[in-house]
Amino acid sequence: MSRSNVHLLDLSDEILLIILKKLDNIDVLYSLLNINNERLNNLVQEKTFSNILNFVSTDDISSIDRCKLDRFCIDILPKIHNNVKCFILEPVSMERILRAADYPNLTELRLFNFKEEIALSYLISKHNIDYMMFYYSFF
Amino acid sequence: MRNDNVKRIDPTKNYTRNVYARILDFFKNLKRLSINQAFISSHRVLSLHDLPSDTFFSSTLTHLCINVANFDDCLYLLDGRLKQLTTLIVRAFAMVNYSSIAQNMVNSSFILFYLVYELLVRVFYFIKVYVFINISFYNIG
Repeated sequence: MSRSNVHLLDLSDEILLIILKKLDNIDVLYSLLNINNERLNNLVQEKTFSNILNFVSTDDISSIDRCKLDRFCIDILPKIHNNVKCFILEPVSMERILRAADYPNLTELRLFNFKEEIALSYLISKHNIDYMMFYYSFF
Repeated sequence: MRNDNVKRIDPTKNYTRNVYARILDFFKNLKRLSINQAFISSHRVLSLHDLPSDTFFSSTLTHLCINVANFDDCLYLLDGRLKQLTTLIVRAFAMVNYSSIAQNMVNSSFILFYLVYELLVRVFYFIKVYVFINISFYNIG
């Protein structure tokens, strides 16, 4: 029995897309956008990977780490800003993410543990927002 | 006792003004607003009693899910300030704000009947209305 010599990148775009869609958008963008591979770089700029971006960690250990956030704000968000339709955010990173670019198609915001002191005034393209959702996990 | 009541709900007035009212002022095209709390807390509830009638006003909102201080806040929400509202999901922290109910309505079952009646005459054009009431506060009267 010979082992197949097919590598991940030998798969067709369609198959790669099906695989990538199973992953979290944040992971896909963080791992594959702007790496030295033109094909992956183009693939992950598909709208489907940036229309909903969830920056609230689900592993309940910590919020998104500093280095990851930097890369998103400097590198990634300015590239895909036109595709973002929905952000899921928490106070610690909310302001940086919303200030990182213009989001003309952002219509939905889900905010975790929103604090009264946070000014809403920096929310960009505020006129497009038509759905807001707040979650509070504490008393 | 009534004075105590008013004092206790003051922080919620501030929260209503500073957060909820501001959201509607700020997002002019907001159609859906949903506030989800794992624990219902008395200081983050919406309380419209004694606030000007243009507080928490919107001509675009169609869907609202929120926790309110008293059942009569549902009535404030339905007094025409939310013109397009078709879905209302409300959790009331307490049954009544006694200062807003006429003195002669002391009979508690009458208050319940009165409030439900007031609610029903306002919602005939609605698609969905859910009201959850903390009934334990109801026995005070």
